[in-house]
Amino acid sequence: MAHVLVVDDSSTMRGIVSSFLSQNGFDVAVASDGREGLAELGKDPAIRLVVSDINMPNMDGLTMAEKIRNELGNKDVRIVMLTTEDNSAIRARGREIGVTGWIVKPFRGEAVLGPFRKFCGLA
Amino acid sequence: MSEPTTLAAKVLLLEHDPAHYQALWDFGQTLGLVLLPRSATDALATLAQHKDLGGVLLAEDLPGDGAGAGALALAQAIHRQRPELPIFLRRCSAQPLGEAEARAVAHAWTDLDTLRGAMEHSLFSLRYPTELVNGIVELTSSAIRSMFPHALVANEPPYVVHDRIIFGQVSTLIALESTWCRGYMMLQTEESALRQGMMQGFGYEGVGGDLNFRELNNLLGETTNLIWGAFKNRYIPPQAFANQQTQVPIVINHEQKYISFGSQDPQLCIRYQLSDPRRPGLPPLIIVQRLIFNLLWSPEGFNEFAAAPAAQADTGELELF
Repeated sequence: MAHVLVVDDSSTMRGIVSSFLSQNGFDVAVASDGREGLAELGKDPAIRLVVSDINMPNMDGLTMAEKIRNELGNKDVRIVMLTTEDNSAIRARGREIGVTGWIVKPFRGEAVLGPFRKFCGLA
Repeated sequence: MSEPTTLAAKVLLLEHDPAHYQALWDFGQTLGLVLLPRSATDALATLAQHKDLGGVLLAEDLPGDGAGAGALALAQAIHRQRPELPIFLRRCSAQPLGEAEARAVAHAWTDLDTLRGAMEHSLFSLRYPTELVNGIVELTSSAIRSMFPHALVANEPPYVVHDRIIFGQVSTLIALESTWCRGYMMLQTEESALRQGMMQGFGYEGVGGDLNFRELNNLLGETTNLIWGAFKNRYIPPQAFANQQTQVPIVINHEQKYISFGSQDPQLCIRYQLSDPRRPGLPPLIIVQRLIFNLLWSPEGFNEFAAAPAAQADTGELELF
């Protein structure tokens, strides 16, 4: 069972985030776009945190977040966007959708370990 | 406001006369030229070794290569091999150039003022503000360090190039669009050196899988994405996200490792060296960055934008909503 779902179309980025989280006691699942992410989340109720890129093929990260909240009706899972986007309009859309937090890449694991543990009930 | 920076350009120097040689050497210092002095015999080989040349300085009375070919024949041979390189011919005679010779020689000169004008027109036709060049180096170095946290990252002095030859086997291309520029950024590196760097432990543990070419492509792709994101966040104001339709074809020749963006303007080029702090004797991994503003370039627009910079993002920090 996974605590965290990492969604990114870049296998390098998935590797960086998931290996850091695994080394720090998280169970990690991965998906390569928003569509796969939705499917993963649908079949694993143990996921407490979704860490997702925005710009991805097939389905982008914000659309996935919107579907998690509205179509799956999942209001509990924490959704953190991990993205190069720092545009205020895009952030505002994320906030409106119900995204929990925002990280501008690059990923620095040590900076987010505390909150991630709390989100997953590991603190 | 940001002043244009003095960027270097590498120029092949084919000059035998000691007085002219010294005068050109001093001239090069003032204009920011990195001169590569060579003889007629090794001129063509030098073209092959130095893909990143900006031009050629050639004396009309340069002694030949021993096979009877003179400087004007050499100019034509250089032009055939590297037609993008402007040739600056120091004239010694009043005899008009033949048609083929004139086609090969971009600029003929007899005095340094004429040469300066010709070089400023062709080698340094785009001015890159110092603040922009420094900013690009800073954000790129930071992105490279975040992807290769165990490598020492240093950059060579930025310079301008006219060649269209791709360095190495792995390259990426991403569009850059702002109110003050439109063009592309490329990253280029050698596949085997990148694999070797990852085997030495430059990257994160476990990242890159079995380091096949797809994994290595992806690694350079993600590095490009990080640089692009940082560039966008720092230099692209929100009003730049307007619909921009103009495009030009990009020509790629895989056999020749050649890419053309349809512009003759000099490209900003920066080489980054990634070395292993535990094995200082090993050759570094080289990543070459090129910026090609072929669709729009307005240093004045950049200056206006740079005068009122946007707040920079705290990368890597979690902002809770």
